[in-house]
Amino acid sequence: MSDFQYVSLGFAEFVGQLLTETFEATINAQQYQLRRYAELQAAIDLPDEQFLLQFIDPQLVFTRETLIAGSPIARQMIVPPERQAFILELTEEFEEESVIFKNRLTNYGFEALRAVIDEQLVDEQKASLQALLNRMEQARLVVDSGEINAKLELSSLYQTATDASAETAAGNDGKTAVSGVKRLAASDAVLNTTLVNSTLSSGVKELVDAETLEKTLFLDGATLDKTLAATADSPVRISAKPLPSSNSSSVYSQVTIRFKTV
Amino acid sequence: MTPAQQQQLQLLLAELARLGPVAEAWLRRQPDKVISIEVHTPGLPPLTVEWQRSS
Repeated sequence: MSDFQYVSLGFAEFVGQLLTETFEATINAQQYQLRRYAELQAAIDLPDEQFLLQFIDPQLVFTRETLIAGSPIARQMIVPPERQAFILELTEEFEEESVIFKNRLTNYGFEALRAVIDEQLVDEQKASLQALLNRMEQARLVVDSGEINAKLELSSLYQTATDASAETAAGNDGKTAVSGVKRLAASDAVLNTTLVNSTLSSGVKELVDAETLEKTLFLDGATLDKTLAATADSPVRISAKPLPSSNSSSVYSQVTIRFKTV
Repeated sequence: MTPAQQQQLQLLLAELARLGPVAEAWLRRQPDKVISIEVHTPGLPPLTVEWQRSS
């Protein structure tokens, strides 16, 4: 960042870039949330078997098995006597065969216990995701208005016609010169030679605040368009250079971009 | 307003008018927004330009 240079841009280009970057950022933030929301919803909507494969960590299964049976479960494993009642209670819906026979977990009991554990884990994880989804719904970031301020140093740039012969001489092939190509050069003096006869009177409404006597001029879009057309060939542009925050000058221009939802 | 200030004001208006296509492009994407740009420049009155989709 120490090499960062504060460079000048045409005023319109600078503000346009600021506007674009701000809007892109807000739209991206909102789209990210919508994508995350959709992903979570899609996960919750998955069938339990698929959800188990995609979102339940095998380590979580081992941990739950150990919690219930004292160790990861296996067919015909010896079930500690103090855990048998708990396992029988968990698998009470499985009544077709014995779950535990002669202190051993039967094949049927193994399948029953696995089904119970898988169902528990899927239900818990889906409930957790649903809670997260509900929180997102409540706290979803919606940028409906905003304000961006930038301190600028404005200056006038004079656009001169390129010397075609010089351009040709500078070119590598020496054959072509692009006609109409212009370059920018700083100059304040030319202000005196441009736009002298222009006027702002047409399409302008002036309103005066009754209390403060402050005047406000309103220009419609067509007037602005005319202004642009009138100055389209103007050799003068205003350039904007952002001021670093460390700048202590009290003389600077400021541009404020506001947007709101109506 | 001095001629120099008037020239500066017109240049600034021309720059703001150049922003029209940018603002209009965003209003096509977000038609429910109002965009305004306010410029404060020493020696000139504050300028505010606002874009909104016409109904």
